[in-house]
Amino acid sequence: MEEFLRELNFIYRRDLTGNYFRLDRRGATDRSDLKVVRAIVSLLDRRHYGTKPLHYDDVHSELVKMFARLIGSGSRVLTKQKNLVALHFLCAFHQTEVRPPKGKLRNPCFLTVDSTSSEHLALSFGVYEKKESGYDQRAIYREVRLARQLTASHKYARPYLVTDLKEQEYLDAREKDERIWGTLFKSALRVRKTRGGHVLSRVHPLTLPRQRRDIHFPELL
Amino acid sequence: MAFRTRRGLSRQEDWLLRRFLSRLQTGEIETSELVAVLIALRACGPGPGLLDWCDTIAHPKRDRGRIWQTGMALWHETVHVDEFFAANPIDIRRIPIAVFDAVVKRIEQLGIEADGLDLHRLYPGGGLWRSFCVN
Repeated sequence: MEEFLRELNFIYRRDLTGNYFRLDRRGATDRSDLKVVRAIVSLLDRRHYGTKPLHYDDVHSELVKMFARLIGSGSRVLTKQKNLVALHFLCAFHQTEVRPPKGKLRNPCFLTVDSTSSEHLALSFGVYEKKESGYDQRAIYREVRLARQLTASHKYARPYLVTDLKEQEYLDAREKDERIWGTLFKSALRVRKTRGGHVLSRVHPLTLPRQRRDIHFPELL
Repeated sequence: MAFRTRRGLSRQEDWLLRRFLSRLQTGEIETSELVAVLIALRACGPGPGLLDWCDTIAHPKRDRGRIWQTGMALWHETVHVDEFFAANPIDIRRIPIAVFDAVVKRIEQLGIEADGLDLHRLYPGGGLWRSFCVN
């Protein structure tokens, strides 16, 4: 097997862009090697290429440990207000861009607040493309995992950090309007205090025109 | 009075963390306060999981770490891997890095030897057999 892997590394060379391995035909003398490569590649289409999302609890427990080590207190408050810290954490990392050390990507990649299949808030990665109306999310392969909390609710983002915050409870109720669905990534977010508790909402809430209600004609029933 | 606390923090950092906790208790904290705390904690040796977040918030342009790697891997997958698999037939003269790594892993899992390879046993299905030749 090691000999075969050595052979593979000999016949394929990394290209200058750093994104591909190119076949060096001068090295590829044995066709059986390529048959194996082709056979394996055809099996890898539906594989999960992304890493398993992280859970916010892991970050929070490290935060609690740090406070205990540095000032010898804080674990009680941090545990009691865990959800509020999580909301601010989501806000702090919303619209974080990742890019190569040099240059700029034509399809930029951002970490933004989104929701999972289980309707929990998460920080998800999305890839964007420029359109006439500005940046829009590009469709990506939706990796389905056993836990719905680790699976994206749509094919435009992939969860990276999931929380236990339910969208129903911790996201501004106005975001449930279908007319603005999928546009949260475009806005800056903040944590707002409401009568029902703290929620995540847009810094500049969108004002939507009232929707006309259906006219009922009871006498026709 | 000493500048530093017994636990090695400056008085200023100590006050910053304690104020964060007291404001958190009353539910009054702002996101910028959490950002300041993460930056302060970064210098105090947090675990690798938290450190990556602290580093990310501290740099306007982040070009390393787990968050960066995962984001760049998704970008590579969306731009290069999807395009590779969308081609018919698949062109194995140019393989995206993520797919090449997956091929290597698969070979290691299966323990494939180049000599005496029984492809029919490994990949039953027949249809693929004719397309094994290089384009």
